[in-house]
Amino acid sequence: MTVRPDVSEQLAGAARILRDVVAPSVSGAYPADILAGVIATLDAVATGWADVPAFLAWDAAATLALLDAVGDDLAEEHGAARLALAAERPGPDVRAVAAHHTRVRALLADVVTAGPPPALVAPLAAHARERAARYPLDAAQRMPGESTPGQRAPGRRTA
Amino acid sequence: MPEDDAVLARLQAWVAEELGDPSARVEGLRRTSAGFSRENWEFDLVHGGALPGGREAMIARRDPVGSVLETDRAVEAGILRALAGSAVPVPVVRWCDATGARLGRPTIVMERAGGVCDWFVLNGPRPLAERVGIAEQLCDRLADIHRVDWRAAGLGGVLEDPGAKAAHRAVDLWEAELRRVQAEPQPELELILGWLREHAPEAGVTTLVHADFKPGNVLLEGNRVSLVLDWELAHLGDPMEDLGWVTNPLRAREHRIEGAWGPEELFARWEQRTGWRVDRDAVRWWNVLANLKLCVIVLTGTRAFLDGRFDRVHQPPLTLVRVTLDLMGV
Repeated sequence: MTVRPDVSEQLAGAARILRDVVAPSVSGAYPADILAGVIATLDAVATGWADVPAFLAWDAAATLALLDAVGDDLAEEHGAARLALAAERPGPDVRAVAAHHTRVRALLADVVTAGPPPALVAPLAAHARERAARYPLDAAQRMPGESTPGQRAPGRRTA
Repeated sequence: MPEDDAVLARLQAWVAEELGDPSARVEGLRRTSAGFSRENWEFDLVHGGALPGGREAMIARRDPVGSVLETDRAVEAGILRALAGSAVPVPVVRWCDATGARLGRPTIVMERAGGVCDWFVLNGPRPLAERVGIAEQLCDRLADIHRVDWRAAGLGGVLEDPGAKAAHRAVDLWEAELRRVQAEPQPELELILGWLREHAPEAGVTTLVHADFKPGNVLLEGNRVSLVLDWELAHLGDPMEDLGWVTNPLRAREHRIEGAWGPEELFARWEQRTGWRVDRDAVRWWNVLANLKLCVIVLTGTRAFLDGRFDRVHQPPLTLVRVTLDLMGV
């Protein structure tokens, strides 16, 4: 990175300011909990954002490879869409990479919804596991409703 | 006017009208951090008809602007009122505004009970025997929910009976919610939905189903499970749904005690208390449904966040998807 502060530094710095300057003055339980979540999110994005474009590019390419492997079993329109997407060259622009990725994922969703070729199911599941392992922003995976790490000590709750 | 002051003013007017006591006062109003699908506002109600000391501990649960769940307060209040006095200890509903006319959004006001909520009590610092005892009580309370005579309790007028097709109805429900909230294509969830439809079991019996039963949704007084909370997802259906929810391997830290309390111990005790048999294949199917449901709940929160109506960020449910595919055996 040649422009300072770079994106990671700005995000990490904003998280630090919230943690060190703002948080001590927040007294309400709800805003304090929400603020902790905001800080955790900023920390996660500061650490992982730079890997997101590469993740999207890998995911799109791997998904097209999955579809290519069952190309003969795809419906005609899905096969044509696969070829068109494989010909796309989104380049370095992150928004173009993300748009290409979304189109590829939409095609895979259409193929699955239409009834996936049996030979696609196991590779698709394997790819989903790989996606979970590679996702670069996996900082605070929590159960829905579970609070920010460090906020989950047993406490008085009432009804 | 700040949000807290607006809620205070409107709540004050509401309770005074309900009590027919213009001097009734709301004191100590505060929004707590607990509760992710509803806003929880705790307060003391001070009025002439109150118990000795003139003060009642209350809680108002209001629908948020955005939430991980969108449910009906009138249904929830109807269930709680029907269960009052049953074997299932539930919060006492005082007033319900299902339209949002009182506080701007639908709200239930309930009596505030004492007790502690501990999501991970089964793996906390208590001695093993005490933790197993709590796990057994949790199982018993769940069985009691399933044994409620819902027809006699009047719940047939509040909830729809899906009959043997409870599993299909659940898939329909959560798919519709997915379609409503999804912000991007979800091919893995499409695969899971297809598997669920292909393998859906038939329910052997229709019971009341809590649908979010966990240590984080009960109160403890000492080692006693004193109250079952959060009935917003409750419905009529297959009791295997709740067993699938609490045996979800992804939530083992909440529901299991290594070497002492797991699915087999739960099933044996539940069978003994209910007199019914556990259909293990159906439970596995409901394990998968449980994770689909969690995925959709995450995406509902994401949709609300994207729309500026929810204050928390959830990452995409990639781990949930992975676990679900493991359960499906693909």
